[in-house]
Parts: sequence; C-alpha cells; structure tokens
Amino acid sequence: MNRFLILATIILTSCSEHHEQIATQIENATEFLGESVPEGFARVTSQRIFQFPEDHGSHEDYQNEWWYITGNLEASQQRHFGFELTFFRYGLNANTTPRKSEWAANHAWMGHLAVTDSQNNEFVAVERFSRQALKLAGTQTTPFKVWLEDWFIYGNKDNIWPLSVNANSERVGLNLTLNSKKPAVSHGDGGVDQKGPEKGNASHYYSFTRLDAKGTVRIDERSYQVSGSAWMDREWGTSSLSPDIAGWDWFGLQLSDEREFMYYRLRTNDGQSSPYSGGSIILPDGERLNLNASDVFLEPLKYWTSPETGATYPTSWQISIPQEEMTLTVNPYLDKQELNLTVRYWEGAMKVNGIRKGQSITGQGYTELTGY
Amino acid sequence: MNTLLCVAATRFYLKRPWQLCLAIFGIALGVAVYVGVDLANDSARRAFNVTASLINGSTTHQLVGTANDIPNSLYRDLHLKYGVRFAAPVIEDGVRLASNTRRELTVLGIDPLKETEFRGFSSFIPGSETNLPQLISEPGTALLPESLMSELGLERDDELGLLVGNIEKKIRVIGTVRDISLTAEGATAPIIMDIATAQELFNRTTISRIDLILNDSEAEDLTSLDLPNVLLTDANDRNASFDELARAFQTNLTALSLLALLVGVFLIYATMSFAVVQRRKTFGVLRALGVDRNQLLLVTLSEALIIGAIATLLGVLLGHQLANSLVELVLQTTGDFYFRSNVAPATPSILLYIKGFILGVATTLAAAAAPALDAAHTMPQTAISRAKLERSTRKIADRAALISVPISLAALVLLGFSTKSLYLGFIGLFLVIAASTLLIPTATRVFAKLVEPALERSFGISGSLAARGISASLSRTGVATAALTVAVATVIGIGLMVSSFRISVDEWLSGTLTADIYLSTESENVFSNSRIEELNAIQGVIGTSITRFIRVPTEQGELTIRAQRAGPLGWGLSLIEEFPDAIERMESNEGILVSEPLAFRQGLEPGDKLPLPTKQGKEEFTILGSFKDYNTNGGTILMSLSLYRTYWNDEDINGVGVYLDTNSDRENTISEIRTFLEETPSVRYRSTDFIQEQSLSIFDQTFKITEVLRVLAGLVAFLGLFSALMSIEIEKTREVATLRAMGLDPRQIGILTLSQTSLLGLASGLFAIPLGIIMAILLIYVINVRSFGWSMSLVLSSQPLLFGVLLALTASILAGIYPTVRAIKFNVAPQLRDE
Repeated sequence: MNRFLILATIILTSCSEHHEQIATQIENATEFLGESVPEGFARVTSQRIFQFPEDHGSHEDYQNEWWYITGNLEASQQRHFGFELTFFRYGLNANTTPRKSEWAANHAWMGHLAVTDSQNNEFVAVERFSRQALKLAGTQTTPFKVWLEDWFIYGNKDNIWPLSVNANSERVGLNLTLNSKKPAVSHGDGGVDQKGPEKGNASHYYSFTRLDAKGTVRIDERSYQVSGSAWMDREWGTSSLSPDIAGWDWFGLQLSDEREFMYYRLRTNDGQSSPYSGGSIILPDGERLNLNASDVFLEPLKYWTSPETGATYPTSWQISIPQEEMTLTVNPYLDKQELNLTVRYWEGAMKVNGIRKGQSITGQGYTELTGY
Repeated sequence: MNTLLCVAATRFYLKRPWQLCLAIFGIALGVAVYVGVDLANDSARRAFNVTASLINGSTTHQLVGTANDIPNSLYRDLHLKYGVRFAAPVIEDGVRLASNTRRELTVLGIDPLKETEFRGFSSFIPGSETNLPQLISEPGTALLPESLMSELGLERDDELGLLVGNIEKKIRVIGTVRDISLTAEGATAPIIMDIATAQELFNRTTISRIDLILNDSEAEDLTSLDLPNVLLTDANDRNASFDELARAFQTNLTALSLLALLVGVFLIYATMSFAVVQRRKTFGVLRALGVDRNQLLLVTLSEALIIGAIATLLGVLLGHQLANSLVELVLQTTGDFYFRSNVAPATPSILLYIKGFILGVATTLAAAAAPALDAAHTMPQTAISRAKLERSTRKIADRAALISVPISLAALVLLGFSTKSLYLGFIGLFLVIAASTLLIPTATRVFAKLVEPALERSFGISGSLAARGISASLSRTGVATAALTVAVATVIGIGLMVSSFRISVDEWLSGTLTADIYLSTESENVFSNSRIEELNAIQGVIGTSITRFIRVPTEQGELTIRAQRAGPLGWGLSLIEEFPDAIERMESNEGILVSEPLAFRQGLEPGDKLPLPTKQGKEEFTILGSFKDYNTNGGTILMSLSLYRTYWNDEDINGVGVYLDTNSDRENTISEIRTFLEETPSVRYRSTDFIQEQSLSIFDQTFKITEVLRVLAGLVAFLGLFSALMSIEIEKTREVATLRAMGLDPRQIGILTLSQTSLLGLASGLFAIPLGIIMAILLIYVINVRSFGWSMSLVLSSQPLLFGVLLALTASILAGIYPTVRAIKFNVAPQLRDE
C-alpha cells in the first residue's frame, strides 16, 4: 500500500486549493511533516526477508512507517460498521544527538481513527499527534506494542496473535481482538515495493489480508458487540513521490472465494496510471500472484463531492483483471467517508459484487483515494 | 394636495439652508459618536478574542501548580492513565537579551504537535518556511517575533545570546513568529521553542502548566482525581476579573456615547419642533383649506424621516471614521492597562452599522413625533395666535417640571436599592438627567425673570427685552437650553469624575509608596538574606521592606498575593473596612487583608474566610479588612511574610523597598545601591518618583478616550445650541422689524440679540453646574464603584466647572454673532410690508 505517499500528496494538493480550509490543512501538514527527504535516513534499495516479531516493531532508520488496520464488522441484525485505525511514525531528524530533556524527540506520531455506521449514515474520523518522548508514543517488539497515548495495538508475548486493538475518542471507540487466518504476505519484488524510477523511491510492504475480528464498537454512549474481517498493512521507507504523480487509488478487498485482492494505482498528473502501479492476489492458501500496472483496469462508475471540502472523489469502481477472468464492482457503504483531517483523504468501507470465471462472487474491503 | 404639502415643506427648508445643515450635522455628530464608540468597542472586544484565542487557543482549562511547577510525568499520566484527550504542555519563563540586559522577553515552550489541537499553530507562523521537525528535534532552535528579528538585524539561522538568570545561552533562530502586536517596548509576541529546548534552556525538568480542552464531565472527572499540588482552573475564569473590568469600561463608554446621542435627540426635537412652530401659520392655513390632520402628520414625520435618514447616514460614515481613531484608544486602555498586552484592531461587523442607522432614524422619528402631532393638531383658527402657543408651552413646561419630581424619586429608589448592578446604575443616571431636563424650561423662564431687572439697569430697554424674549419664546428656547444643559453637564460631570479620580490615585500612590526606591526581579533567589543585610548596611539606608509577590489560581480567577514585611515607615495602607487593629492582627498572622475591588466583587467582609491554594493544600484565611488599591490586577491579598512562609514554604523574595535617610547624601547612597546591584542585573530599579510618574501617565492614557468623548459631547452641544439660537434669532425677523419701526436703533437691536443668546448660554452653563456635579457624584459613587470596585472622593476642582460654563457661553455668543450682524444691517420696510 502506498500510504507513505500521503506526505507527498499533501504537497501536491496544495497546488490546487479547493478551499480556504484545505489550504490551512495543507499548510499545517506541510509544516508538520516537512517537505523533502532529509539526509541521513536509510533508503529501501534491496530485497528483504521479513523477520517476525522484529519487523512488527519500528524501523527508526527509515523516515516513515505505519501500522494500518481497516475492517468491516457486523453487529446483530446485520448492522454494518467499518473502521480504520492507523499509526504513522515520522522521523524528524536522522541525527540522534543525546539530549537532556525528557521531552526531546526524533519521531513524531500521527494516529487516525475512523468509524463508519452504515445504518445511521454516519462517519466519524479523528486524529491525534504526539512526539515519541516520555513514553507518550512508540513501539516495542516483545510483546509487540504500538501506541499513541491511549490508542494502542498490542500482541501476545510470543506471537503477535491475538492482537488487541483499542482506541477511543469522544464520539467513537474500538475494542477488538484480531486473529490472522493467513500468514503475512510480502508485496512487490521480494518485499520491495518500487514507487518510481528513482533508486530508493520504494518501501518495504507486507500485509495480513484476512483477520478475524471480534469485540465492540462504540458510537457515542452505545456499544455494539461486533464480529467481522479486518486487514493490516505494514510499510516503511524513506521516499518522496515522483513529481508527475497526482495521487493514488488503493483497494484491499476480501472476496467470498477466500481470495484477497490488493491493488494501488499511482495516478499521474494527466489522469493516467503510472507504470509503477501494482498489487497482489492472495490465494486461499496464502500464496501470492503479482499484479502489474498492465494487468488491472480501473474505471470509476460514480463520483461524490464532499460538501465539507468541495473535493470530488470517484467512490464506485469497476475493476477488471482479464488474466483472472474477473470483473468486480466496488461500491461504498457510504459516500461520506472522507477524513477531513490535517491530511485529507477518502478511505471507506466497500462492498463488492462480481464474476470470476463465470461464477458470481461477493466481498468487502476498503478503498483509499488521495490527491483529489 | 400632498404634492402641495411636499413643495411647501421643501421650500421651507430650502429657504433656511443654515437651519437644515446645522440640524443634519448635529444629529450626524450625535449618531457618529454613538456608532464610533460602538464600533470601537466591538472591534476591541473582537481583537481581544482573537488575541486570547491565539494565546489560549481553544483551551478550556489549565492545570497549574499550587506552589511549584508540574512534573513531566503528570502530563504523560493525563494521556495514558486518566484518558485526557486534549492536553498541551507549556513552559512560560523570562529571559533577557545578552546584548541589552534591560530587555526582558518571554519564552514560550510548547509541543508544536499538540498546538494544532490548541492554538492552530500555523497562524503563529507566517509563510511555510518554518521547519517544524527542525524546531522539535534540533537542540537550541527557536522562532523569534518578526519585529525582534528586524530590531536586532537578525537573519534566519543566526545565533542570539539570551541571559537565563546570569548565564548566557545561545539559541539559533530558525523562523519567525507573527507579532500579535507591538508596544513601545517592542514585540509582545514570545520567543517560541519546543518544550524540550525550553527545558534545556532553563535547565529545568518541569513544565509551567498544562493547557486542556475538557467538556464538563471530563473536568469533573479530573477534579475528582484530586491530583496533588495542582489546581484545575477554568481558562475563562483565569481572566474573568480582567474581562469584567474591560466590560465595565466598555459599558461606561457606551453610556457616554448614548449621552452624545441623547444630545443629538434633543437637537432633532428642537429642530423639528422649531420647524413646526415656524410653520404654524402655514399649517393653520392649510388646515383651513381642508388638509386633514393625518396628511399633516404624515408630511411632518416624512420630513423628520428624510432629515433623520440623511443625517444618520452621514453620522454612520462619520462614526466609521471616528471608530478608526477611537479603537486605538480603547485598545490601548483596555489592552495596556487591564491585559498588559496590546492587541490589534479587528474589522467590525456590518450589523453594527445597521444598528447605528436604525437607532439614529428611530430616535429622530421618536423625537419628531411630538412636534408632528402638534402640527397635526393645529386648529385652523388658533394657529395664527403666537401668544396662545407660548401660553400653552408655558403650561406644558410647568407640567414637565412637576413630572420631574416622581422621576427623580424613581431614580433615587433605583440607585438606593441596587448596590451592584451597573446597568441599574446607568438607568438611574439617565433618569436623573431626564428629570433635570424636564425642569429646565421652567427654570429658564424663572432665570430670565430674575435677571431682567439687572439687565434693564445695564442695557436699558434692550436688556429688558432680551430677558422677556426668553420667557416669551419658551417654545423655542426651552428645548435648546435643556439640550445644551445636558451636554454641558456631561462635560462637567465627566471632567469632575476624572479629576477626582486622578487626585485619589495620586494621593493613594503617595501614601502607599513609603519607600524611596523599589527593587524587583522576576528571577529566583536573587535577594538572599545576606544580600538584604548588605543592602541595609549601605551608608544612608535606614531600612528595607521585603515582599514576595506571587500569582495564585483560585476559583474566582488569578489573584496576587503580596506577602510583606513592612519597612521603617509602616505599611502605607489606606484601610476601608476593617476589624479594629487590622494591621496589628495581620502582623501577628491572624489573617489577611484584601484589596477593595476584590472585596467588592466577591462581596467579602471583615470576618469572612477566603480559601487559597497553599503548598499544604487549600487553606482558609480570615479577612481582617480591605484596603484601597487602584491596581487592575484582578485582586490583591496582603499578608505578613511570616504567614506566607508558613503556608507556602517559600523563602524567596522578589521585591525590596529601600528607605533612605533624609539627612544623608542621597546621590551618594543611590550610586552605592546602583553599584551593589551590578552583581544582579535581573533586578529592576525604580525610584518612587518614577513609579508615581509612570502610574499617572498610565492613568492619563486610560482616560484619554474619556477626554475625547467629553470633547465630542461638547461639540455636539455646541452645534446644537448654535443652530437652535441662530434659528430663534433668524425667526425673529419680523419682531426685530417692528422694534426697529418703533424706534430702536441698530446698536440696541444688536445688544438685544447678543444678550439674549448669551443669556441662554449663561443659563445653560449655570444649570449645568449642579447637574454636572450630580452626574459626577453618580459617576464616582455609583458607576465607578459598580464598574471597578474603586472608591474615591469627589473633589470639586474649578477647571471642569469653568470649562463647562465657558463652553456654553462661547457657543451662545458665537451663535449670536450672525443674527446680530443681520439685525443691525436690517432693512425694515420689506419685512413689514404686509402688516
């Protein structure tokens, strides 16, 4: 997944100010995150065999890193909820001079929590920031833990599973236990996901694509017992977006035939797909098929304009993968799934209908749209 | 017929352009003063809000240490243990420039990542050049106020030397902070650093406070945790007392501006009634021709509406201009004096202009209603008789004088039975003005009668006619005199209040500042016992007073504690309400004294208990009395130093008063003290004279706007009288012609005209003296006490009184000049042709 590009997108979108509010958001974000890649951070240049549990923790040599969980949940009477919980680490300075103050920090953290309540047509998204100091935010490997103040994901002592997920804000809250049904899958070429022609413009990327989720979702004062299926992405690297990329469209879909589909399209400024777009199909046994830019055809079916920010997003899609004889129609549970935060993007729970080799399939998942 | 009426009305005004212009300008000025003050107040209020939100952001609460600073770990616990969502750490501390050790600056240490939730950090930083990752992660980096950068000729990435205590430290400038505003001493914006950098700069391991955004239940939860050594304060309460002062100040200004508008209303009433009176004959004829009452009413009201609308529009435009200059004054006063920080003006809302316009037109219409009804009720046959009109006017005037009695009673009841409400105080004041206004026409008549013999002796028939003319044309002169009297009384009343206030402050300063030199510092542990002993040992020093000033958060806002060991000349207090031997009992640690404004605001009486956050938790202290205090710091508590030390475990001192021997060589002693102070550059040296001078200049600054309003009210009054008197005299054309025909020479006519206008001016001036004094009494003993909690005594200085009478006389003499010249050059024949 290409979320690291978020940083670059912020800079790109600042060129097309929709709105005064967006301009302020952008101003905040660029100032917060900085504009260029500073000297001294490691770059992803070679393949990597992921080592667990070590690789679940931080890779502080690299500038950017995140832990990204999305999922579709169901309460009684088939009431649907979607959720997103993400932790971004951002390296502020590659030089680590020892300092006296306990507040001294070289890493900043940003967290996003979003809950979609399809039945009530409601979407709530909140963010928080903290420095990595005074144990306010950070990671540890054994037992695995990543936290930002009192939002956290933590694992079991030996293996990370089952993973506990806990995040609360004024209006919504999540308390889930996740168990993986498939092993981790490495994307790209040997765990290296190349984002552009430049050397080092790449990331290490692995995912758990099918997680059983159980627990509670809270909306205002009410808590709901829920169960469903989630997806976790892990990615780190030090890179900036190529200048010709305007944004991307990312899909992480769990299909009824026990396959998963992940694809990101890097969109160029003239609206074309970059050749560095790519993805994976994960088979029921956990094996992975690589997808290149030429393997997947995306077509927006419907657009939605955010009344809050004025941005227009393609929220319904048709996805064709000729080599798999598969065509999928992806529709949002709710159009209104824009995260109008310091970094603005659309990330929403989706339902899937389609045909594969003449058989109809269904599914659900998440889509991320940036640079609109 | 309607067209005819309109043509007649238009002709009437076109023939009297002077009358029309003066009326329009007078009303416009009244509206302008009101709109100007309203706009300035609003702009100032919004500017405060903007500044407050820049500084406090969306902070709802703050956690502050009751005695010491806050440990880092409490901040973490808030997030991780207590589930607080929005918390931002703050270090606020002072430094001085290494290159200019007198220049003190504030350093604000913050967590930029948390600022996005609180202060909208980007608004602090102009442009996008500031590299926040660098600010957070690179030691010794800071953002400087823009003005300081240019003042010191610094560029980005330059180093700057700061003195922390007496140790010089270097910081690197990596960006600028937008100045909130500038004062004479330079930027008020702080130097901004990351919280880690600030801790390293000040070599501390704690933070000053934690800013919070809490809803009510979260605040309750946090309070119930009963965290040790910290106090949760409401961010709004923190400045509550200051807000109250600023609000009171603005209410005062609004009331003054309403007074200006009131004079404007008199003016329109005078103009309209005069315009009706002048046309009684025309109206009578029109009525005889079959024009009905409603048509006349409509025409007269339409006239008023048109004149009112034009004048008000002009007034709103003028008010807008006026606001530009007033807002600076309002901001300076409320900003410098009450908030100790300057703020920049904000653009006012369009609604205020609309409000001003509606108010102007509505008051014009209301003022014109009586004359319009009068016009409508003109009976065809009576209209011709001027004598009958004047008789009925006299009757009305007498009745009005009677009505003023119950109104005065109502005012007394209102003022007597309310003790705290500022609004009721103002209503009372306005009722008193109303009652006096109603008395004035009759008083004018009586006055004219009284002076008639004297005038006759001095000027012969002209003098006698002048005096009689006043009573005889009461329908014209009554309202004009009333308007002028109120305006002049306002000028006198405010003048007396300000001069009494200034004298009280001056006396208070002389009484309070018993020492000759005051030394103060914001640094810690500068005045050790041995240092003070050394100071006492200097030749010519007869003793010292030592003081610890601290600010403590309480539920009613921040208060200042002044813990003191008095010097050889005692405490210098002027007590207001006290237990017997209050000072002795305070010295023997039985309790505390509170400042007068604090006692007034919180209704504290001797014997009451006041809870204060001490190092040993919340403790109740007995109030032994209250003392006069014109400081605007929100409230001061005075206690003995030993009592303070018992409860706060704090041995530090930050103020020393030095008493000099009057017989020794003063210069020599002072220079020795200066030398002694060289070791401690953070100590501020101020002589008593300097403090007194400074305080009074702040006082004058504060009342500058009052002075401006006083002058404006005077100007409105001047114009009002000028236009009214001129109209009266011009209208007398025929009378003058008759007198000339009867044999009076031009010189006699001149004396008659001039002495009549002067007489009216003198009457207004004289009536204004008692009314002005009553207004001053109400302003001093009711309004000021209710606004600020300050008591003072009325001092009847002659300057404001003389100024008022002179203003009235000048206006009336000037107003008399043109009619006099006209009367002298008068050609009799045409005026009497149709007789």
